[in-house]
Amino acid sequence: MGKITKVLIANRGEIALRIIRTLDGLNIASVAVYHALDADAPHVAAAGEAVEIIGDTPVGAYLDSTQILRIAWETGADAIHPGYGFLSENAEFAEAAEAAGVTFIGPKAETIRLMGDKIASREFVEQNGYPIAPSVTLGDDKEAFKQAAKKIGFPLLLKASAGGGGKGMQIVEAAKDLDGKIALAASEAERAFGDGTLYAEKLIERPRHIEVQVLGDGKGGVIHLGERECSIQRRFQKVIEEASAPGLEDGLRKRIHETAVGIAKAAKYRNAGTVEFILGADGEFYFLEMNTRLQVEHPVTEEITGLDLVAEQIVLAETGKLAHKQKDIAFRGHAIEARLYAEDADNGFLPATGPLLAFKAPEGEGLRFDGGVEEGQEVSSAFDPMLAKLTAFGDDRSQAIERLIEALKQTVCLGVATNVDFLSRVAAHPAFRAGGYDTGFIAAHADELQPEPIGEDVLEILLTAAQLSGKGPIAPPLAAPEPYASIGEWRN
Amino acid sequence: MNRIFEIGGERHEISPYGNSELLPMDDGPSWLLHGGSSHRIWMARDGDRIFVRMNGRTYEIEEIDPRSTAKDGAAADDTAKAPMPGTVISVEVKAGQTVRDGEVLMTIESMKLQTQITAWRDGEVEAVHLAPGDEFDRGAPLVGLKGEEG
Repeated sequence: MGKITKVLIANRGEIALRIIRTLDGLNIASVAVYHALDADAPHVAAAGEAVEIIGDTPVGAYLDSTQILRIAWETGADAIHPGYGFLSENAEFAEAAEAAGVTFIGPKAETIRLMGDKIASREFVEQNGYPIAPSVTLGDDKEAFKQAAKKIGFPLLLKASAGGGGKGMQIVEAAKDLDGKIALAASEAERAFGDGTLYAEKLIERPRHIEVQVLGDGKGGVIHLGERECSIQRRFQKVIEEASAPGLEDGLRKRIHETAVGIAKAAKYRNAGTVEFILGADGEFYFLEMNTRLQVEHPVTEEITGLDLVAEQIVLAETGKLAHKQKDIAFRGHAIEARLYAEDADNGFLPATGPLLAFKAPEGEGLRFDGGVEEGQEVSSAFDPMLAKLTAFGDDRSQAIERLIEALKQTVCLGVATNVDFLSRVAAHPAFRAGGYDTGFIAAHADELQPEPIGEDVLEILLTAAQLSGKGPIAPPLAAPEPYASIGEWRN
Repeated sequence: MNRIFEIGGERHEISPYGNSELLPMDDGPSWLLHGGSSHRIWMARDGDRIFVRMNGRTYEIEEIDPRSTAKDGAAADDTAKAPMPGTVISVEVKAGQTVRDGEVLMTIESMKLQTQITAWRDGEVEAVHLAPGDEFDRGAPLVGLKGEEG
């Protein structure tokens, strides 16, 4: 604790840029780290200083805590902001930073450890008298696990104990699929987290993903900044998030807030965090997990509270005191965030790669664009496929939706497949406008969310444009060697 | 010479239009003048892939070399190709093995996400093109099935 004068951002992309923006506003110096693949990335240019990191893989460089701590030392950074992903929920890193005398802008290592273990965190929540969904853990006895899983009933969810972001997660429809799905989930969990431990959980009917943003002083003082609705998901990952949750009855909303605050108080939570819940169609809700970091979707909370969450994190790290009382937190208007992913939304949302040949962010009233990519950059498979976040604010929900649809229409991202048109179709869908949707939204409306067939008149325009895009095919009849595929007079 | 473009899985062969024009603007988009009307579009080309954004929708077009079309087609349908770059996690089948529709042939991983490549019909495995640990690019052949008789 103590005055923070220089912060190293142990991250990349849009979140690194977003953190630097707040640091600039607070007159705090910034240090970026970057892998060679990111040498031309906007976060490198925006930071006061930038230091290259190396690794066996690009992701490995950003995960190299020793190297990053050494850079913090060499550049004189007195604090580290981990952003989300990478080292943000790595308890050893938080510990090592504090041991080196560098403030880790986040919770205590022990809290990260507790909440990072899905099984331990559920036990903790249950012991403190808060609700969790029925579940069972896979130990050494697979047969016992299968029996217990059958008791919970099908369909059920298999999850990685160390997991997050949908990795290692499988839906099991029937008992006969258990063996295959266990093998698949365990292998994915092992590869993603180095830990193949699984648990099975009741699949809640028409579940909504509702989460609550909290701020804690580390001594039991906790306030909440309202909830976020994150039920628009594909592959178990959030795509569209909003604050507040549409159509939530006030009493229920209050109970969810109080539960989140209670859990964070019990953990003596420090800094910013998010308590995630599954809300069933019957109004029952269960603790899902706690994310001990800034979330991707934090902008919607910022828009409706008028607070800067990164600034709040820095104040908490500096003083150990909450800057606001609960009664001072006011909510205004409605905000919706859409995540722009490099992926083929019309083909199973598979990640896509390619060059960003043309890229233009939308502009307009109530719009916020958090991007970390620039035209000319290559979208590689080395990193997460999220390119940017688009947040629309409105006086009410319908205005926010209209602004989001218009903004998505304006967004240009060519050269790599993106989900931007898919997001437009979701935002314009009557069931989305109605609110009260659940995490099955995308699957349930899959047909209606397909692109419309291309009309004759549009086809003619496209073929005309295509003809004018170049003088003819580039690739010779037989496969061209790579160098020939990337040079030629058609390129500008 | 006629040119061939593929849009949304369909191929269109067209003879050159003479009276169309593309006028690029400084800030990115272009005006496409065609048949007495004008359209504001964004367009980019990378090799034979062409991207057009018009009226808030993005279209991907591929230019097909007329000389290559004879070689594609039938054979292409009998090989599973990589939907994106990645790594082979495991191979479940061997060449010569008989497989049923839906049977897992190979597990691949891309961007930390595992996907199973399954047989798209009953048949016999003709070739397994990659081994566990191999890395591949988008479009790389993974597993081929022997062509159906008749």
